Amino acid sequence: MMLRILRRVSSAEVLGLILVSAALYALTDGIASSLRDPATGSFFWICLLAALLAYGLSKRVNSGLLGSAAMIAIGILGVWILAARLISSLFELGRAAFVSSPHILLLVRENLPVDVDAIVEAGRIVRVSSHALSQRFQNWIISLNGDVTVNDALMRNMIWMLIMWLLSAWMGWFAGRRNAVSALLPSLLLLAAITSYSGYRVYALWVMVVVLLLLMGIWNYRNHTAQWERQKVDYSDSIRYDATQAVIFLSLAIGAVAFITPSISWRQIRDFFRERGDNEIAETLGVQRQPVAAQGVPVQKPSLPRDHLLSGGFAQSEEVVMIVRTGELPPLVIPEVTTNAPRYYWRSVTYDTYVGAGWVTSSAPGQSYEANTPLIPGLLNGYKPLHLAVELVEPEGKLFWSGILFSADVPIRADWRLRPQSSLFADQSSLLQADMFIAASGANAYHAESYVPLVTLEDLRNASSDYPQSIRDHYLNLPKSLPERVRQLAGEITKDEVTAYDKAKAIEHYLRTYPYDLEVPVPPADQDVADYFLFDLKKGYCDYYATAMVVLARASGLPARFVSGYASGSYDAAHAEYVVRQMHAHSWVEVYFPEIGWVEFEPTASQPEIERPLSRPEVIDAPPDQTASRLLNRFRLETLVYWLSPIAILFLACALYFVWIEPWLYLRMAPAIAVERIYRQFYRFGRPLAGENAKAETASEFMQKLIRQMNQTGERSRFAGYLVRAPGEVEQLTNIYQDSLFAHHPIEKKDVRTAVSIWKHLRVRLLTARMHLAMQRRFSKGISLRWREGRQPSS
Amino acid sequence: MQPLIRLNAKVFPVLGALALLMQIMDPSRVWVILMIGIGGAWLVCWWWARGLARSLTFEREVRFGWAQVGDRLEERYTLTNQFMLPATWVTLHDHSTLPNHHASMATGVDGLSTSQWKISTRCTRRGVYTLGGTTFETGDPLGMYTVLFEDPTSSTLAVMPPVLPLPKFEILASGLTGEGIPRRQALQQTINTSHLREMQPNDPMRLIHWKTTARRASAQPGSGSGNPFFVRQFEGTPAGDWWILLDLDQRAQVGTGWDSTEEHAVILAASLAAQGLNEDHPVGLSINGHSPDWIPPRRNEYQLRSLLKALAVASPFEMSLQDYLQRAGRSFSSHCSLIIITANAEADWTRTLMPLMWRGVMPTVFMFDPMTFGGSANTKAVSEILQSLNVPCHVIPKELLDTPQARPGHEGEWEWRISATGKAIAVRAAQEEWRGLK
Repeated sequence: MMLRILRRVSSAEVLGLILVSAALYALTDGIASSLRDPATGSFFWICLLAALLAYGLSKRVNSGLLGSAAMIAIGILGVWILAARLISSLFELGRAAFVSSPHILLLVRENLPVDVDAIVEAGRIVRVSSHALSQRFQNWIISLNGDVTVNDALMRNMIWMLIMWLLSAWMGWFAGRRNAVSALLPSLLLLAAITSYSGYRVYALWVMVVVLLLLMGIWNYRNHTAQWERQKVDYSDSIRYDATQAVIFLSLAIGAVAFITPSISWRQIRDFFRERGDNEIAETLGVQRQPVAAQGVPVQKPSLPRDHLLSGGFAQSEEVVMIVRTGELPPLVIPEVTTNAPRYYWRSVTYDTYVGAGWVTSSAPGQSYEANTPLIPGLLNGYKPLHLAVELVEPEGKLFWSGILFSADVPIRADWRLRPQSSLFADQSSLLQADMFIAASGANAYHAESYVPLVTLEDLRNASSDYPQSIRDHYLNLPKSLPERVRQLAGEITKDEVTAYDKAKAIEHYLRTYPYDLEVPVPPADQDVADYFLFDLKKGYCDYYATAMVVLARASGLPARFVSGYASGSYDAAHAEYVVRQMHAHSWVEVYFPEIGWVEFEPTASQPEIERPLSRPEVIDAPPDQTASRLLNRFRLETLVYWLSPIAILFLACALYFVWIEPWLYLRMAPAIAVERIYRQFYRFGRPLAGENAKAETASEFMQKLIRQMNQTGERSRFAGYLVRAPGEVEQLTNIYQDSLFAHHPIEKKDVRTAVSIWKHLRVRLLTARMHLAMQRRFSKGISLRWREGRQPSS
Repeated sequence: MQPLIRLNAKVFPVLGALALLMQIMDPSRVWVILMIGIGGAWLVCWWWARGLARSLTFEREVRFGWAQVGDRLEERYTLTNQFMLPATWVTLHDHSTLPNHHASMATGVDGLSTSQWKISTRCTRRGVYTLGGTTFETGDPLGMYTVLFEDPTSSTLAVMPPVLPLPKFEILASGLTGEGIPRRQALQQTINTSHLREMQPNDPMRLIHWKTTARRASAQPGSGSGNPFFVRQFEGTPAGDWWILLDLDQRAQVGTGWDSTEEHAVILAASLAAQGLNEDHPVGLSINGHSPDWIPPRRNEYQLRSLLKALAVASPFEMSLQDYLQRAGRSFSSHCSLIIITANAEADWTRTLMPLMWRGVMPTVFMFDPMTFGGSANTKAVSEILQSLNVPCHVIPKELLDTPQARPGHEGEWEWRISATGKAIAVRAAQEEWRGLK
């Protein structure tokens, strides 16, 4: 029976069913990974059952309506049985009915009372379970109409099971009709919608796409052969061979490109061209760009980032925002003992564009990162690694960290103003220029790795003023509307200072003389904020101080940026954690120093001044950062594997094809056709070696030419040992081909086997000989060129 | 030949565009995979199909413009692909009307290469047929596009009835001199006797070659041979006209297909025509059929082909032989031999022979024996009447023409020729140049 079925099912059908199973696996895996509940293990088997049932139905039933009704009915019944856990109860009911039925018949015949307690009991269990499930279902339906969301995992599973059942049945039905697009399209769309939302197992979609293309090719061939057979059109066996080759290579090539192509947004493309254009073409042509402010960057309204803290009592609020642990100091048993905990700023957002009325940021294309993915492709020298454990009371939608963020253990979306040029390797300078505007995440607890600079006053004073172009472009801009007196003030403050650090420090000192005050009037709409603070208001809070310092620093030629976040907070020695409250919301300034990076400055009078060691010996050497190093190595390895995997897949596919599929295809062909195909391939490979095609060249003549050339190549080659068997193989293959054409007896399968076996080795030998010959020609061409150059008379 | 490119998977460009839109609006790997996997596949397939549409050419050639039943017709097909990618499948649908001509086939052709094959068909049924046109379709390997080519080029092929060697039949000769009526420009007499033959009814007495007659009589005394006289034949002496009247009265036909009196009548007419022309008779043809044909007697080299062509399309019609003879009888020239080929066993038509005979038309009747073809009519009565009129009547049984020679077919076969030195050389018979369908 099985053999009869197998004989009736063609190889294309079997291959199609295998691919449909692969598509089902990808579908169930992709969707299950995106669902919250883990009870999805049986999805694949349920889907396979549905697909096989529908496949069988499609071969028997012509009416689609009837098939759909049957599959829907079976699906609903099956899902109900599974959800109500009725399998064992129904089994019991069936068993009881089976056991009792002979007795019942006897008793009924003799008019005796019938004992059906076992059946009634089993039926009662089924009824009760079904009733409970129906109640639960009704509640869930009612809740859908109300405002309350009911998270009923069972209902969710039921819905998904039914959806998967129907999708698989659809797939199976159209698989029976050999319509790949109709079969896979609904599943593909659902999977795309789900994975684009969840972000999990995107590879499942890739598998589905590749399977779709393969199925299209296979069924296209099968449909054609069916049509040819129906119309009694004679067709060549070699079509199967050519079509299979083309379909496999086309599908894998498209699949490989889809696999390796990263997601690039149009904004990234625009930024890329803008950056390139700014630096090269625009400079060459003398085209100047409008000032950033005038250009608008109208992504957000300019403001002082901490304005909102002034209202609603935030500035005095002791409400805890987050707790940060760095693990640098152990918890103290006697909390009264004062500890000198390091001071950190918990940054969230940086601004680069000052527009007079406040701050905006230039465009910052976003990029999503998986958890524990390095954001910068290298370890920073002269920086201290910091392991942060952050617990946010209420998630703010963004991460907080200190220094330069290296990685986080939650998926994040980083908006880069300046991104490292490579995602695998970068030098220190490139890493230091990288500028992340914000790292967004909905997590309320996370671990992060970051780097904080270990700099001395000596380092800062010795730093050069040779700023990279990207830094100049972003962090030295000031609006044209900036009053001249601000520039003059900057000059006055820094006139006696030589180094960049001293200039920054002078500005910081100058601003710290302004009194801190939260009760300040709003700046007039037509007045520059920095000018208003420096000359009119002469008091204010952190935003004003930081704004004024950035403006004065830029006016003095120092690249600076405005940073917003939280100040260090209060250190709880007993728990070795920083408790950050709303009142610690803060803005500060960072100035860029070549070879060092961004260094924090504190111009706000209410905050303590930042202390830095004078010289190198005072800086404690940072221990090697094992975590970051491990993460980075793993990331590099994964990326390498990711990029190499298409090549590996292609290589494997080729190996599979040449070692297994191709011989199998040859053996399924008519022997004469198979030998002719093999010989044609051999001819194509050997032709470049044998030289130009002579008029009316016979197979024997070609063979002799080729053998002569192979012998010559073998003599001069280091692969002589490998090539020595080639002439014999060439002769053998040619003889088989000639036999297939001219011999009295028809060629047999065993000859094809011999030809395949010869060709398997001969192909590699011919390739080796061709490579050797090509290298030899290049080498001799090089010598000839050098010889000619040598002969030319010197001037 | 304007190719038509048809998109089968219309959803692919839509999905590709949708994925592109989504990638612009909400960049994600999901959309990239869909965009390249679906949109990319669509673009590649479109390029592939377009390349094939522009680069695939097809030629169909045939060697012969006409054939006889039993001949092998050879057609050569050339499919050229000038595109760099292969056409993994190409289906050719042949619209020829020639019976048993199975030229439709599916094949493939590599990139930048040519595929050529031949189709050989044995012509089994007379008639005029069309070879071509051709529809061929191809497409990309995924079946996303189908490229359809319509090639309306066709040519007409006449399949003539076979010509068989016939036994010697008595056919009444007519005419004033020699074997036929002298033509104006022809020599009346010649001193060059070409050969001798047995005397036929109506041969002039003066042409009897007495010496031969006497020698034969003495050589075979009492042989009982019915015709002891031999007459002289002269070079250049025009032979008498033969009119072949093929009666295809539908009501008189018996049998079906190859075994019908209709087919046998056509073959007999063709064979007699060939025989007559071989014997230098101007042969004409008159067909009582669906499309009445009237070919006056001629003796040039094209006459046989004209007669066979007319016989190729001859088909039965509902007009009795009697009516036909009454209407067409007076169009036969006087003093000619009229060869009537019929399956009509009714005697009524014999009456119409008398007026013809008075005009010097000498009829000879070939009548098929309906009983050998599965019919019930008896030819005895008609034979007797004809005998009484001194009209030779040959009753043709089915077996006479139902021979293997009725399917001679030798075109495209190997033949052996013996050279002057006695060496056997294999040659192909009747090699003609290939020519395209026009």
